[in-house]
Amino acid sequence: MPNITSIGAGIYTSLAYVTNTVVEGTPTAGEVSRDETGDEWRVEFETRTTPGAAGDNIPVAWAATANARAFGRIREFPNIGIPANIVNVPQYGQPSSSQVVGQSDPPNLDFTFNYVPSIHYFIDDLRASGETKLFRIRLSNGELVKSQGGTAANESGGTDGAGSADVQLPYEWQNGAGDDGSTIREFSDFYLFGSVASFEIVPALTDANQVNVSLTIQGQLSGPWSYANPTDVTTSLVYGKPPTA
Amino acid sequence: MASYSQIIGDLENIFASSEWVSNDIQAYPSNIAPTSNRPNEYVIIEVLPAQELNIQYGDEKQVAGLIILQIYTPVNTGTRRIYEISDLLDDVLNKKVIGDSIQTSASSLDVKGNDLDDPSLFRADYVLRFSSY
Repeated sequence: MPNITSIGAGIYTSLAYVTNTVVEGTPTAGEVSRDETGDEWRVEFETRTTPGAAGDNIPVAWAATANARAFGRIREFPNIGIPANIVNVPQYGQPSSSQVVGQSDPPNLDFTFNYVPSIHYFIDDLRASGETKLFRIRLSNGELVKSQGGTAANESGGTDGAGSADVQLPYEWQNGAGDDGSTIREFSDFYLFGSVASFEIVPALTDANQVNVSLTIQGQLSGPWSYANPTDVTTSLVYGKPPTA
Repeated sequence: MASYSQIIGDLENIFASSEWVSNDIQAYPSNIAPTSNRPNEYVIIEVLPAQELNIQYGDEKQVAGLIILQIYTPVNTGTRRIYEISDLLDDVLNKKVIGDSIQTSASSLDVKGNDLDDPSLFRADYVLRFSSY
């Protein structure tokens, strides 16, 4: 069950998006659809090379796709989810009012990055384009495999897409002798469709320079998604929500 | 961030540079005491990377701390030389980017007076904060 199963600090939490065009209905190559689910969205970010046979204590190769992009050097994450909108309703003749849940406003997704112009230049391009993209927040307490980008091989042996440097990939390790399965380090994925609304650079005198970025969210947040540990490493993985993964 | 050994290496390299060597003031790493042929005046480099910086998600490590240069001059020669040496240290350390990752802040000077261990020496501490991102 690689969805996170214990409390811990999300030190390795990351944000990524895919450059695919967002569409409704059935997507074609280079597109991603709002009508799909996490199981379809995840393959736009990463691929797994299914081993031909079980091995002992060796990594399974994962690779970032050519369309995946990481937002590196994140300093602060916003609250992730949908805030409540609780309305107090007066009750005639009663000593106290009642509460009902009204239609929630979408959350403000305000991220802060330690600003490095050579890394974060693309964010302002996204803002200027106004395009809607598929974003993935990967909540992770443990270290994962980091995409190398540049069609280089990463730690797991997978060959990453050219512009995908720093996208976080699953850390999957085949189990020891007598066990054909594998173990995936825990993480939980959350997906949202949105666009970059703001890009504000904040120079600092005694700390790292920062950039504040706001995302607009369209629709609901989807998650937590993750992979179930396979009992046979040669089979395809199940990607689902708890309690199945 | 640079590793701990790279931080100390980058800082020590400053005192091997031609810019510092031309000052003709010997600099020693801490834990090396100049015993034989001790110069009249010298500095000891002390680096304390003792403050963790949790300012970024991911595996990159940032650390901050203090750089302390203990400045020693002979007693009964006044304090002017202490200030002159501090100005020379400012030239190579004050608000600088050192190596790939170290950034130093503005310096300060703490004049200590006669050295407790060696009464023939007068001591001042030149101090600045640094961060390694």
